[in-house]
Amino acid sequence: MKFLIAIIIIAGTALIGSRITFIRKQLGLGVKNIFFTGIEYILLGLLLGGSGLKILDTDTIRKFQPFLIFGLAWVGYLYGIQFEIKLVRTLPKKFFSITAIQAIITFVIVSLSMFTFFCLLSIISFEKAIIISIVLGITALSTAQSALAIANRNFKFKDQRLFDLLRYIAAVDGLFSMFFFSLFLAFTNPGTATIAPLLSALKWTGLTTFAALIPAMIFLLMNKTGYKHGDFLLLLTGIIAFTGGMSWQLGISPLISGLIAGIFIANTCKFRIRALNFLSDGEKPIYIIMLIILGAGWDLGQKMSMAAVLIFIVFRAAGKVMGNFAAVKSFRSAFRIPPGVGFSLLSQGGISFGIIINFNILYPELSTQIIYIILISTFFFELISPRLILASFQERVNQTSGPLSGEYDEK
Amino acid sequence: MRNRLITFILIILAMLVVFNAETFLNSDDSISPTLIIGFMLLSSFVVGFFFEKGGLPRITGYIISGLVFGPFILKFYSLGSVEELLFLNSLALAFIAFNAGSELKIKEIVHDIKPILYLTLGVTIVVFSGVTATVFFISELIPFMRPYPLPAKIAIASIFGIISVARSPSSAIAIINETKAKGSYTSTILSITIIMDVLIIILFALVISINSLIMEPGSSFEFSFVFFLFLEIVIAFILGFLLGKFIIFLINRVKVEFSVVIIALGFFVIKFTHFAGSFISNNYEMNLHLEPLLICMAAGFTVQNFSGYGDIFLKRMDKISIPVYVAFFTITGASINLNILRAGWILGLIIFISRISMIYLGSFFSTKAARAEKKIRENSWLGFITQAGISLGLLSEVVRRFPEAGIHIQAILIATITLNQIIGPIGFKYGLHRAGETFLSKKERSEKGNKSENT
Repeated sequence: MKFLIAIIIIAGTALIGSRITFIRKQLGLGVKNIFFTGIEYILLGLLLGGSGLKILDTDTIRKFQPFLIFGLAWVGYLYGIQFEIKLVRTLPKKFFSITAIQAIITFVIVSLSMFTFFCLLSIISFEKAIIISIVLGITALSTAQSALAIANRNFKFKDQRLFDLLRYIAAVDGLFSMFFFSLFLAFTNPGTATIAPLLSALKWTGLTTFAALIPAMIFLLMNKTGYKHGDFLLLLTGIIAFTGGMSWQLGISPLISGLIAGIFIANTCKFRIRALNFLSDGEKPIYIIMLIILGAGWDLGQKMSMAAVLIFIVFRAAGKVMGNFAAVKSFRSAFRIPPGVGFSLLSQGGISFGIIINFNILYPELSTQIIYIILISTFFFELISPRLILASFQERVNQTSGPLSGEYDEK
Repeated sequence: MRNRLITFILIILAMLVVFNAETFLNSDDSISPTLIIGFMLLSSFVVGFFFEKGGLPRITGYIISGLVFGPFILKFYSLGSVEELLFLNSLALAFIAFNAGSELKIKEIVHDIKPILYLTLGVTIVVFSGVTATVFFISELIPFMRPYPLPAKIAIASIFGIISVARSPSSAIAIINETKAKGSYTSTILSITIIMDVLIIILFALVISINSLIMEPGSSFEFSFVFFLFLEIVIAFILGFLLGKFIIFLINRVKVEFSVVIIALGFFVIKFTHFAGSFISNNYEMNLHLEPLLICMAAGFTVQNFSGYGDIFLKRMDKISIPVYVAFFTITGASINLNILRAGWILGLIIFISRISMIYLGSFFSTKAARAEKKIRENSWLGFITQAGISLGLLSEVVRRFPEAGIHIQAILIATITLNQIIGPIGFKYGLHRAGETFLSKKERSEKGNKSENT
């Protein structure tokens, strides 16, 4: 019965939510961004979950696992299919280098600081401290695009090049997150939380490539323009379920396999736009369901976690600012980039959520801490991010049109 | 064709690797439902295509794919895994019931009322009496029937007869959608199949009640059973009408992801009827079982006939019908228990032949009496062979009511139903083609017309 009620609430919310998520216009920027990111669904999950009404308890959440696996593969495909190398090449190469430097520095700073924090408190074992710190570092480095999108919808910016750079970083640093997450998974043994030997890492890589490329090749072989809507839906759904299911069965990541398959399709299939449109159509309801389930797994009874959240927030901000500062200093830019531009890249969510959901499936016993830290910090970052972006552009706002709050600027 | 063959090989190879690879998880032997669904969708999609190329219905391909890769032949997934996925079948059935109801158009029924009435009555009477007689005459060859006295033998034979009358709207709808068939033959067959779906529940209840008198000495005719059955049907129609009005409201006023809403509504109806049934049984000691498929069918019928949104409804349903059919028929194929089939296949085959012969005779005389169109006269019997879900549902009721004989009846009739499930769609597709109502046959005809005009 619990499962039935859970399904009805989640499906109903996903259906209604996918229609109204982006239409609130009378709210402050930060609050608008909170809704834009879909954090309200995490709160709904929290209400339904173990810390709330207990409708979505651990057993019920486990029953949703096949859907989560499918959803992760879907997110991977959707993210990967947007990486058409031809298009990426048209953008300045410096952008990529700046993104890489800021991503690596953020990762290092957050991982080290969190590891030190856990070691000083010595409440978790050394191995667990390493794993949790690394995963926090991985999630910290990616930037969500929501705050930039909100800022772009409400204001006009004089220096569009700077804005393009920020959008580029927010779009591409997720790829680094995924790359580090892949390395992490390859070099750890699921379940035992120990470091895996090189041979095991190679095996992981081989299986991931297999689980990604076989479905992608099937898609390429089967794909043709003449498919009816239903046929194409069937093919795409089948491919995604097959990728996710194979990954889960092999003990690898559905998110990473989906990502690789998506990139492969993006660069080899001439009908990729049709697939992208289908994936985008299903994104919102899938994302909402995943957020609700993520929220349900949020354990509010964590001791010492508030301190960990504070450390994470401080060092993520420091990592982003220092990382971007170092990156910008390393390259000569054709336009002025403010030294504190890293503050504009604090928005968190999207890929980070995908990564912790995937981590939760593989390491359920280690993920409660991470979920706690990421969810609270996301709430904070989303609230302040739009204002911080505006602060970076303060001197560059087009004075003639002015900072037109509420103006919808479709670009 | 070559691409699809390579795809098929790739899917199989991938599954073999997954089964044999040393994985990173120390989990048990269970296979992820996500993987099974992915495999089912892809493999059936390809197999369906091969069948289509061979002139056979895609859904037969889906059934065969489920059967071959299922728990009794290649064992790509276990019986437990299939059982876990059976909820998808319920969802698909609800979806198909919505579709079936919305395919019934009062105007068309009224237009073809004479053949519909004659065929419904004629085929029902001939098949029921013909199959009953066949089973009765061969009862000495059926081991479990031998010890029963004569009246009980007739009663048991009549159970075979009544279940033989049932048909499969889901297969009929799937074939019509696949072939994009349209015309008087199509609508007549579909109308009769759907009407029979309702009628069979009433007839079955009557036969079972009468049989109880014969097989359980001392029992009396259960008027209450028949009364409650009528009540169930009336309530189902009322609820279906209200649900239909709600769907009309959704189409008209709310912009929602329609296909998902329809499946969610189907799920809700199934769960609601189960809940209502157990609630009434626990609190009022009444055995009221609302048939969810009747509710969905009535809802579809309401949208089609009591609003201007019938075509929009059908179009939107059609958008996602293929994945639904693939999942439904593949799981149906995977659920075919070959062990039971092996045990009862000879008797099953005899009943299968008898049923088809009776359908032919019944259709022949009914259409002649109704002076139906030639294409209906010659091909209607081909549309009545399909059998699936409802027959299996009735069989479980037989087992519940008459446990001793029921289990043997079930074993034999499952074999018959399996044959009908595989042969039925082929027959119907052939019938539609012969009647010239499929998209392809219409295209062929127009091309021929163009050629003769040119020469």
